[in-house]
Amino acid sequence: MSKRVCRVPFGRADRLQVSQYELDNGLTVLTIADHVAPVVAYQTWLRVGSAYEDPEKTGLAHLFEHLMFNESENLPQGVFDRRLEELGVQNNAATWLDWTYYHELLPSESLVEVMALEAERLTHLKVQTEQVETEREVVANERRYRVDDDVSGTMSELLNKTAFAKHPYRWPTIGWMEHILAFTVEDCQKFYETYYAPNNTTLVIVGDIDEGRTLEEVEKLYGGLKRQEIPAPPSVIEPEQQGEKRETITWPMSAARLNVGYHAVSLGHEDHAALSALNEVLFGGRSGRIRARLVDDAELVSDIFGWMPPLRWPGLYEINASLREGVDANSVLQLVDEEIEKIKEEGPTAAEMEKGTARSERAFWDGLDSADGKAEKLGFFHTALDDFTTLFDRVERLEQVTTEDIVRVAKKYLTVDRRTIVVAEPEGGAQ
Amino acid sequence: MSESVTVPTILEHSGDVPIVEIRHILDSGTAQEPAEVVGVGRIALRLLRRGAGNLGRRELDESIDRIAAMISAQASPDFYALHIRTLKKHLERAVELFASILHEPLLAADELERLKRETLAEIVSSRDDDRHLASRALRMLVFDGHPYGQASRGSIGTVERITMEHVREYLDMNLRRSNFLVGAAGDIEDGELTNLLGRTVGTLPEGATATKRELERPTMKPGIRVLLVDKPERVQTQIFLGHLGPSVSDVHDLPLRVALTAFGGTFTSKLMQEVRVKRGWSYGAYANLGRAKVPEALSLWTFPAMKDAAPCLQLLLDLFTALHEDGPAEEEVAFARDYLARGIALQRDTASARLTLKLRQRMLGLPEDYYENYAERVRGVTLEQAVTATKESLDPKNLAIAITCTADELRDQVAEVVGDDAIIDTIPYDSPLL
Repeated sequence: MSKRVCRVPFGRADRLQVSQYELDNGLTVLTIADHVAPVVAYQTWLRVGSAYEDPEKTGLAHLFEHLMFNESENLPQGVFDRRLEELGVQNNAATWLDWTYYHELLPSESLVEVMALEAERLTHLKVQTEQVETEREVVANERRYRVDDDVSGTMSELLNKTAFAKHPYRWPTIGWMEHILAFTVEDCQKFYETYYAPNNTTLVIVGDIDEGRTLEEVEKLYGGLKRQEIPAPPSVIEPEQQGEKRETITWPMSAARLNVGYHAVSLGHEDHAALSALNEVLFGGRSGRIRARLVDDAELVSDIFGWMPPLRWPGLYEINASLREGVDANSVLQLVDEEIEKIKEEGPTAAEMEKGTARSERAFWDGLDSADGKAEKLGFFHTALDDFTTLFDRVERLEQVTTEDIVRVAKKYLTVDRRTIVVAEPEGGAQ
Repeated sequence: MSESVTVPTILEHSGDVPIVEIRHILDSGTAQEPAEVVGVGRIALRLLRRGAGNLGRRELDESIDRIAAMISAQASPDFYALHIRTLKKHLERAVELFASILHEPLLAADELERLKRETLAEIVSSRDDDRHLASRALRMLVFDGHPYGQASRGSIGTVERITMEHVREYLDMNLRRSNFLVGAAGDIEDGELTNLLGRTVGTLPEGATATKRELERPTMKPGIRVLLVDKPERVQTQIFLGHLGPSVSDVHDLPLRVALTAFGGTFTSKLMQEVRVKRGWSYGAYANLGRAKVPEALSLWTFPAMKDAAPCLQLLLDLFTALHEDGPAEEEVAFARDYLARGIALQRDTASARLTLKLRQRMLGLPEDYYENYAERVRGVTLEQAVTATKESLDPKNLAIAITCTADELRDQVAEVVGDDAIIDTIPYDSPLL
């Protein structure tokens, strides 16, 4: 049986409602009935990503995501995807540091069958040698595509590996190549049994649904799943960095690139909103201070951006720049540092604060336009922070950030000692 | 639809979120640009955004960002577009700024030079993207000197040649009321849109002074031509192969889309199954048919490791040939019809998505009910039509193949696959031609 945990107004003028239910086995269900279009977003969020992995078996969460599209007890190989496509469904999945999710966008007439297909693979997946071997090759190719032949992917991987001494964020979600190629059926089966449990899962169903009938179907399909003992999440605390770290690589390219990462905070930390607001001042729109100075005024970079990732544990505040031909990374870093120091001394202007608020508001609404956009926001916040209503708190928090908050977090987190620098230089030196 | 300001408009209203987007489409694209200054339209439209009225570039950027609006320009072979996206509560101010951009741009000489340097830096930066390099190389081969083969942002040579005179000439010829089609989506009503247009494109000079060139039909050189985009130290390749396909008005267009969906348009399609699922050679393998009034590129794309590139290329050629000779099977056509007919609902789920389809419909000259009745149209495609379309439209003997790779390591293997009659050329990844 399911019980309703809460019902929260949602959307413009509270036109909609999010309902949260919990089954006896711990499965969480979030629903929004919204009949503006005959479509439904159906998403399955699992609280497991690469941060939960054994350091000697990195990439397992991601590889397992691939396996989920294979044979199950009641569906021969290939039938899962084929049937979804016949129903006109768009489906895919994604894995990152803290989570894995499977998503379908479907014509509402197909909902019952899609639910059955999703429940089948969550409960009866067959983990077999042939599929594991094939997916290892596919993922190895994905790694070549996204990392080994891609300067951005290589730099991002190196930045995290260098910046984090202990925390699981130091390895990439796709995993190290030697680990990818060594996964066994047993590794995958154990992972499935451990983490793909109802009490580690949130179903998000948004769109043209009859809430009562949909919930009945959820109970019928998922109610028999047994609650599992989920391992405690990683408890490693990253030691405080004691000084700047720097790595340099060379790459076949025409112009250099620069990545900088400052040890910062988790999404749930009270300073996350202030760091996000600081990022708007520095990089938001075309008028962000660092963007305007380096792209337009000094013409040192072709592109530069910063971001504060939304992570369950403390992550890096990152700055990434694509330099122009012949430009040295140190000259870019010097101007970046000057702008950061200015913020620390003078703080943002009233206009910059106004801009930050407006841009946060637009970003919030932009993400809620479609059924899958709504489902993704709910699923993400419920998985990352254990409570989907933090989505709304987030908007409030951003609105409440003060100039003093921005100065304070700039001084606290954007320091030389907390940062790691990765530079990629063109082979043969800057041209 | 409203015609009261003599600008054709399409409106898709939705009050679900307080966001408004307005897309101003210019019925002319980079294919119309003089060959020596390709990219001029993109530069000219972006220059509008670099200072207007009493606001210099910096002040204008700050004014737009303060209300979290986006005002941007896009270029493609057939169309240019100016977009506004804003919160409803800032719509008035966003339109005010857009009107200033449109009617009183500063067109400062130093900003033009800055913009050109920025564009050149973007071109250099794009060389880091191996897929982009192979895709560009394929278009160069397929369109073989035709304007459709040009990069929309131009090349290093063409951008360097652009002067303020070119920019002014472009704007004078194109910023005419009758050149625009305007689409709006989101929290905006018809009367409101009409009123806003009365202050923006509705008050531009009337009449088209731009005479659209009648473009020649693109033609490809016969035979198999390979262009290796040479980049050192590649562990993986990017492979594109293809040739000209039918235009959207061609009788084979929809049947071919059905056939290509079954062949390489979904995860369970034949191409993906053969390349990824059976052999694990690549993360993905896809077939695509561009949409244009003139013949666009029909292409296959995959990205195997260097060690698998030659057998993978052979497999693509074999599958492509088999599709040409045998056509899709009956169950494949039935599957693709279902997928496309049911899936169209997903492309119409928001006001913005519906607007995209309606604008595409209008710009491509498709029937007014094309997407409204898309499911019925697709369901009407017969096996015979799909087979005929693949027989008539696919040509495995006259193909362009573009591969980003470390050329020295792959050239001989590719030569073995494509045969002695094929022409194989190599171009460095940082060539100004790409």
